[in-house]
Parts: sequence; structure tokens; C-alpha cells
Amino acid sequence: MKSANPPRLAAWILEHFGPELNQEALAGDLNEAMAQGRSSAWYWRQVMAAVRWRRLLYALLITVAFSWWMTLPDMWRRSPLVSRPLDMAIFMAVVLAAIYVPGMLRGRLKAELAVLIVVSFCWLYRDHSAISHDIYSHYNILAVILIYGLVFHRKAIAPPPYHLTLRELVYGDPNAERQRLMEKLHLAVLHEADPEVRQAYTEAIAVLQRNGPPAAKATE
Amino acid sequence: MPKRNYLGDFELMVMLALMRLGDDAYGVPISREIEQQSGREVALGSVYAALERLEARGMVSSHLGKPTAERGGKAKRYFRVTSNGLRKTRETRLALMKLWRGLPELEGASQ
Repeated sequence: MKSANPPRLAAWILEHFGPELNQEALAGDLNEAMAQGRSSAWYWRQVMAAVRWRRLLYALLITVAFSWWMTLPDMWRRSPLVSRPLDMAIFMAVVLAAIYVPGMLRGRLKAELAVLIVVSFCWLYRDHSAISHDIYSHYNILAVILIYGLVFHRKAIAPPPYHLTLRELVYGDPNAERQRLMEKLHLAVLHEADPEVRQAYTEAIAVLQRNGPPAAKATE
Repeated sequence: MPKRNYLGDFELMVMLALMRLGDDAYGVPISREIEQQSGREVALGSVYAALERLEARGMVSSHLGKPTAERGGKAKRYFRVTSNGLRKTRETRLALMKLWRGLPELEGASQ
């Protein structure tokens, strides 16, 4: 017997790793199709086709690194990270920064911040001589994850910080793609020679502005 | 970078489905229309990816509908073809017709 409810895990994956701009519409369409008799297998296939794999893999990488880091005994203190709250808090802050900060920054600023964070990190732990001598030290690996996140993770979860709330910071902002699209359209209007095409771009911008940000509507 | 003037085959299918559906064009009917006409299963994610590309190129515009219980409280996003989209679709059709013309292998193969 077919269930009208979508599989929870698939729905969660779609919500967190689906397309940013049309995630809500897509989720609604899939729910509607399920209510009309589509199977769970069909739902899963649709979700797998819609998932942004790069983002999912990046999240998995962070999760594996985090689990590994927490349970591994420290090489100079002989105790796992879970028994050291301060180190664990620093680690979590760095991981969150690696996930969310790239979406807020661009280009040179992003690279400068990566350098600044790594330098600060080394300064904070300057007393531990093991860091400077052992390239396999935990903190070096953490720094590599951070640099990877900051420099290469260009399409991040969070958007530029124009109106970030705590909820958006934690769960991501559905308006990010809309804002990028608006910027693209504004640029296209400036550079387009054909007045008819320019008019179409202007219409598209007006539609985007008129619809308003979905996150803002949800919080009202 | 050279500008893309013509539509890809899937984008063309999406544009034609939008035109056929008129005001009731959102994800489910669009994918159903393509499935019925092409005879192949279509991923809704692919439909939305194509629609996002078309919207970024000013060929399609969209607006949000009202959320319904059947959809788990999620709103529909309706799409419509812009005048620019209509023009590009015509241009693509014309280019394809020119390429098709005079090919004996394709004569009488419209079924």
C-alpha cells in the first residue's frame, strides 16, 4: 500500500540539500504528487535527482572529521576532545565558520580571513610545541578543513550578511539564490544592447522584487 | 564569453509545456505534460533547474501561489513565458527547421 506521507529522511535531505531558489515549490510539488498516488521510491528518485551533491558531500566530510576529532585521543594530553570542553567549543566554532562564512564573503576578503583565522589559531595554541613540529597534529588538520571551506566552498549555505537572523545562520537562507539572480539580472540589464531583451530582464527583476523573500513571509 | 542564443532540447520542452499549460504552469503539470508528450519520466528537480536557467536568461518569469494542505503547506510557483522567451523559442524552432529541411532520412518520420 502506498503512503501519502513522503519519506522523512528524503524530505529532510531535500530541505537541507535541495535547490535554494525553488526548494519550497519542489517540496510542495513532490508532496502533491505523493498525495495523488506516487510511491516512496518515486519520491526518493526525485530527491536524489534534485540534491546538490557537492554540498551534501561537504557536509558529510565535516561530519566524519568532527566525529573522528572528538573521539581521537590528543597526542600530547592523551585524552579525547570530548573531555576538553574549551577545545571542543573552538573546534565547533571553526567548523561552523567553515560552513557558513564562505557564503558571506567573496574573493580576496575570503582569502584574507582564512589567513587571519589560521594565524590566530596558531597564536592561540603557540604554547603547544607539538603543533609546530608535527604536521599531522589535529589542529593542522582542522586548519586544512577550514581553509578548504573558506577558499573552495564557493556556493555555501549562508548568503552575504545583508539580513541574517540566527535561524538563517543556522539553517541557511533561501533568499541567497534569489539575491544572486537579482544581481545577475541587474548586470544583464546594464550590458544588454537589445531593448526587448532588456525589458524582459527588467520584468524578471520586478517579479522577483514583488514576490518578496519567502523567509521574511514565514517569520511574519 | 559567447552568448547562448538557442535553447537546449530539455529547455525547449519546458518552454513548450509552459505555453501549452498557460496560467496553470507549475512543477507538477509541467513535468506531467513533458512525460505525456515525450513518453519518458522527468525529474522535477531537472524541470526546476531548467526553469531557473530560463528565468536567469529572462525567458521565463514566476510568481508564488498560495500554500495548500495537499502540498504540506508549501506554496506553488507558477511560471510563464516572457516576450523574450517567446522570441527565443521561435528562433530555435526556425533554426531547427532549417537544419531539418532537405534531409531524406527524416522524411515521413513524424510518427
